[in-house]
Amino acid sequence: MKIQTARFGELETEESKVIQFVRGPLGFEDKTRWIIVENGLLGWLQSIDDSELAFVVANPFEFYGDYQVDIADEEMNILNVRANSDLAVLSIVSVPPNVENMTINLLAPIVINCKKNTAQQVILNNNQYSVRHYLYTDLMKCAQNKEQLASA
Amino acid sequence: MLVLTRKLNQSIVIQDNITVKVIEIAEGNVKLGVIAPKHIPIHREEVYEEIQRENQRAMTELPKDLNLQGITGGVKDG
Repeated sequence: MKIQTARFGELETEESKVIQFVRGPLGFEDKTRWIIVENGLLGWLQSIDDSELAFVVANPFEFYGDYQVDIADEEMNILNVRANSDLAVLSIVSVPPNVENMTINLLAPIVINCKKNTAQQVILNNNQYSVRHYLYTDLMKCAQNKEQLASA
Repeated sequence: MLVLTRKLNQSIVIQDNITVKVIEIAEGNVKLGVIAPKHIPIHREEVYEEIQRENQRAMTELPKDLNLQGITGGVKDG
């Protein structure tokens, strides 16, 4: 299938890669179909319903090994999750013009059931996590480590 | 807005499947218990609004020509 995007022009993707949100991300509740455009440590979550909408996203576990996503059973049920290994987690990254001020939303991650390609943004009941956690330093550290591993 | 007065341990029922009960009243705080079907999300309003705002910000603040690879690309020389 072909989808139109403001940022990348026309994208070719497969129907099976479409991630169907149970409810769109908060503030975008009616936008339920998205695809992931992978691109290294930071990637894109592109809306299929609205060509203008794309979030920058990242796997928070790349930067924060001790990050904890405790998802309520109800939400596991809504996503039809059978096993934790079916789950993937993405966090929305906010990138202002000065990229050093980029932040990652650790309080409300997007949880994906990779088996069924269903997803939902959840709000964690953990008030040690912020919606605006500064990411730049951790991102650069992580990129550097990967670079060293690749050249070792 | 419908305004109802409730005492401790009293409830209101919304439709036939949502119950909101006053569990505790102490020092200016009211503790509410909510019984609702599992598919109905329930959040503290300010947290919910904060995340809506943050999503909107993440969407609108992005530079139009943002090149993600360019952000980490500079590391190679280090």
